[in-house]
Amino acid sequence: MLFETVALTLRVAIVATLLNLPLALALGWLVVKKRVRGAFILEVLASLPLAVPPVVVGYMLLLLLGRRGPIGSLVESSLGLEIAFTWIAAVLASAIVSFPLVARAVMTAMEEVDERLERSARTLGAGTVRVALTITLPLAHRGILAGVLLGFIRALSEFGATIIVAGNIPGKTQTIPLAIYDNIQLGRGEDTMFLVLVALALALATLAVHNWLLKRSRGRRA
Amino acid sequence: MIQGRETSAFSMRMDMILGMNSSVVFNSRHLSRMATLGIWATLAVAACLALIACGGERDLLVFAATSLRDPLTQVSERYESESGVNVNLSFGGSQSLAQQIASGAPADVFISAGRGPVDFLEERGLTSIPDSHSLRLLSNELVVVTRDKIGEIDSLESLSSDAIERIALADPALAPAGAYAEEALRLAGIWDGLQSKLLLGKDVRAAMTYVEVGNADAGIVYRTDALSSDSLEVARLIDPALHSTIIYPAVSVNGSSNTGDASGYLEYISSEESISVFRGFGFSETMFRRIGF
Repeated sequence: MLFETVALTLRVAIVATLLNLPLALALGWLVVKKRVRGAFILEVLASLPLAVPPVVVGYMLLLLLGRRGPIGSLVESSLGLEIAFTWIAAVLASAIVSFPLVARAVMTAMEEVDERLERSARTLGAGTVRVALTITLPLAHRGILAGVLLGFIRALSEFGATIIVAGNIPGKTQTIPLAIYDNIQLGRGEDTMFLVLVALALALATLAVHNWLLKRSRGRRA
Repeated sequence: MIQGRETSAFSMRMDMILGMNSSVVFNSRHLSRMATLGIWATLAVAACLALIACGGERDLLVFAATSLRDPLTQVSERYESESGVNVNLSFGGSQSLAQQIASGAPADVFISAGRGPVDFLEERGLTSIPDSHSLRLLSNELVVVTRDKIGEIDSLESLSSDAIERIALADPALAPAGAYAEEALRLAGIWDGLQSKLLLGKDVRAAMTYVEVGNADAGIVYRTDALSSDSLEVARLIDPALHSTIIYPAVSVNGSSNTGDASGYLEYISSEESISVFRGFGFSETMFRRIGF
């Protein structure tokens, strides 16, 4: 059961991060490089999940994805698929709560790419896509990866939104933080400590790599 | 540009939070590039594995009152090995589980610690209580538990004494254990006076944990929960006449994707073999009919 919990947590966090990466890249491109109208609003909205209590995110998701919610009922009637209280709901909750971390890191990384290089590439005839693929992304990739890892570790730790929209169902939606919560309530000291140690180990390892990456991306410019 | 400054101020703050002071310097650029590529590759592989592992099998999801945790886990394991159906159990306060089912939780079977949460589902068309059958049901009793002997609890009124500063209950709005306890305390005439002492847990086990870790001096829980704890003492059995009869209705949930296994499971848990497991954990047994339920 404990192993299953850890595997489920990793799966949820990885898929959530996978959803966030392209969205964060697109947002970063629009805000930092294209400087589209309303970039300010986009930036604020992207950071919103960082500022509201995760329970609020969970409740809004439940209203949307629940059996009677607009998205939930649509998906159920068209695909016969339920979202609320499944692992997909856990993925969406973790993705939304961790998105600001990925987005902000991606924006910073893109900001740090010397614009003169991108302009030079453009004067040499490269189109938008080519500039992005050959100049911006390669130069920003350490910062982007650092953001991905930060988002991943936040997704691993998600509790508040998940318990509301995905419930706390062992083997289905019970991730490490939820299992720790349950085990504390049940007074199961050993299981609690095992999961606490797993959570600490995952956090330390991810943060170590994250910090090393940031150091490298800074060091290169200095 | 102002935006730019803001973002890097953010990243500087993150650096401070995350402790960027360690200075690991790799001289070889090549090594570091390989390492970074290695991390990207690891992520890509992990992503593939996560997506491959997505296929889920069809199994039975049972939502049940927290007080049933130990015996129901045992009974379900037996059912699993006999039927080959994989049973997932999710425990919680009965009313919060019913609320989850109403919000779309895909439970197939619901076993409540009281009539209220089942009525709640029936009103919403999410379950139908069978009219013609009489079902075997479990029953339970309420007790006052304490961790250490803190004076005598010779009556419910002793809970009002100054020796007891905090009393743990399950939240009456979330779990029937709390609702039964509230009924008893009201009938004893001490509910209003105890308000400032109450510590409400999300379910009966949470209330019991408050007493076990010493955050509450006494608690009102089911007898079966008290029996499962090594550190708690049953200070007093609460007169069953003070509250409505404690029953555990088990129903299948309408709209379940697995109605066949649900009825097989319901049949199994009311078999003689299963009932004897529940008895072993201190539950008693009762019969109910639709009328007078």
